[in-house]
Amino acid sequence: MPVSIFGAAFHEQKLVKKALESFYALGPQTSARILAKYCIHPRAKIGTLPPKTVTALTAELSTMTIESDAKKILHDNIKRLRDMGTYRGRRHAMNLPVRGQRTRNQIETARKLNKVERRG
Amino acid sequence: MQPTRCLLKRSVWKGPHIVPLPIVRPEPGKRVAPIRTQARSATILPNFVGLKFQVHNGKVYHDVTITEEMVGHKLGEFSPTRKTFMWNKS
Amino acid sequence: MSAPSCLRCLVRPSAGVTVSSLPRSSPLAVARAAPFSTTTANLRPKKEVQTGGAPKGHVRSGKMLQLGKFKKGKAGDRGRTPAPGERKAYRKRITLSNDNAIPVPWLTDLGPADLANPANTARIMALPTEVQDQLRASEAFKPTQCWGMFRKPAVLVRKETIDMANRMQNAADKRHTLRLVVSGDKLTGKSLMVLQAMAHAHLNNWVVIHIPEVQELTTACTEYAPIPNTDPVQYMQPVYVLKLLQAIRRANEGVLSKILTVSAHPELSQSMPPNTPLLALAGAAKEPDAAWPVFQALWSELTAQGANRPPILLSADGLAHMMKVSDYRSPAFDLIHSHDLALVRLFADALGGGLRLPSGGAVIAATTRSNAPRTPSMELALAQREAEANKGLGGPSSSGAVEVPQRDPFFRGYDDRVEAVLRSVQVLRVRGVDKLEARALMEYWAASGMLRATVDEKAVTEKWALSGGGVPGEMERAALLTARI
Repeated sequence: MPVSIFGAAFHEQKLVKKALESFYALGPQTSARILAKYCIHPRAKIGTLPPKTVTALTAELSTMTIESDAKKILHDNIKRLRDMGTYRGRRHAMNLPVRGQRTRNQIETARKLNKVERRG
Repeated sequence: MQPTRCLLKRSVWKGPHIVPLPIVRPEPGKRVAPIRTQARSATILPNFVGLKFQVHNGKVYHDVTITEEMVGHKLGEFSPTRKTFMWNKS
Repeated sequence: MSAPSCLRCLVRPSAGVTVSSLPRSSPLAVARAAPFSTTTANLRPKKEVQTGGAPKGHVRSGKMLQLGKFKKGKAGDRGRTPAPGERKAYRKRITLSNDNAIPVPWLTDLGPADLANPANTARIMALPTEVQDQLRASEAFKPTQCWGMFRKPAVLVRKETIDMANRMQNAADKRHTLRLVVSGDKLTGKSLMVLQAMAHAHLNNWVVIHIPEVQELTTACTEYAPIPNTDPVQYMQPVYVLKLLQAIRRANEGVLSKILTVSAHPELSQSMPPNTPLLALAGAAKEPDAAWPVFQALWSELTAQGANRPPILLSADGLAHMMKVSDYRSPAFDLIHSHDLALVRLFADALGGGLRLPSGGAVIAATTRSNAPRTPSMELALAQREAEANKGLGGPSSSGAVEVPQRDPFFRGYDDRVEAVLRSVQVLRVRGVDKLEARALMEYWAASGMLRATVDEKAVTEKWALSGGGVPGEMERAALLTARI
């Protein structure tokens, strides 16, 4: 039966570390620190956590800027550049490379990612 | 124009790039002509807020009104140097 | 050299005449044997046109773009996939008997005093069935050892074994604690020495607590939790301790059922009146949370002053993992030293002499050479102890110039806690077996039908030399494992 952490359901066999890292803006460093804080060994599976720890993890995550909060900061930063009328903001809006790369070819990543409402 | 490269090449300990500009404080009621400059690499300082600049882009001068949030950027960031390429115009 | 293909150009496939219907004697037919052709499609014999029967589905059905030459069809039956944990269980399985091996008639079972009797040097002796079960319960056998090739598990009694068993017996008689580190090169039988020590202890009704792989404790793969009210903070490992308790219970069933507790243990959730057998105490832990208090209670009972307790053997394999900074992190994100893990600390205290066993016993740890982290302090300390022991004996070379190695002043990675533990241990260096023991081994292999050669002086010398001076594991590789498929 799936275990719910911070509103997301995880399978019992999933590693706790990987489950934490599945949240946006929570990487290996932060997840390692959270694990150490609650004395969970790095290879623990979700199913072995006692319910007390699961609620504690949810409470911990709710105090951090992750998921939509972190995305909002990112969007705000790009939107500020755009609203000021800077060159970087224009390049974001045009889906083009921002940092002076050449645009003759190989700009798939920029076309995919560089947007005012950037997705990741 | 490469804004980040401009930002990255200065260390914090060097401080902002300060260029002497002919800044005149506008007296109330009087209209002051915009400051025409070619110093694109000049850092925007807090005391520029509210002034009007005309920043050179290599060909013409673009009007830029400095607002609060532009502080810390360079003047050149607000004056694009490139023209969008279009087939029917070339 | 392009003539054949040019000739081929003259052949035009037409509706009536196919290439294959051309007369064979014509020069064009010779051209057909060209090594390379771009028109194989024309040369291929035409498929039989289906006549009669309804066409199956659409005309183009079955014409699918196939990307990748070796794409697997989904239709292939791959059989049952292994269940979770099944492959690991297969990898870790221990087979202790082989029905196809010839029973060896002259093989005798080990008795309580056999391992300490010098007359048994260079003899192969079998482990009695109950000892087998006990050793299996405490995971003393390893899958890499060749137990599965013989009718019943048997061990070679070596000089080192006799020496170690005598030291153990001596310690038990005088109610001392033997603190011994078994060290040696790769494949020299360090783990087997521990196994023999355990067998000796079981035969003499000791209580045996064995940690089969220390790396399970310190590489951060089992659960841990801080123990409240400890300063500096120690950490218990509840799941592992529960497993250990069950192993202790199964391995020492006979001994523990005869020992009675002397004090009540109010800290346990289950009430334990005095004079209950220790077996019941060890079985009191059903949940991982209760494991550590129960283990502590069991340990305090085993080491109770004044009560008549049997000697205790604490043994572990893979000492280097115990002598390093573990991979666990404290809540402040600092690495935890292995000696701050409570179970490891107990063993280290016993090994260092800080923890006395009132009824005597032994603490025996074996190093490993295959999967061991680098621990400069431990290596240095063991080398120092060995050099000091040689000095005390006058040195084997009798030159008296045995240098006790010192710390490298330009190296920072030494660990004082480790050196404190290993300051007064004895070191038993295991080396290759001598020719007599090698001969006994090979005769046993031959008698079991696993070595298809006559065992004479020449064969023994050959294998002994091939194995780098009688290293038993290498001898197995040279003589026993060659025919293995």
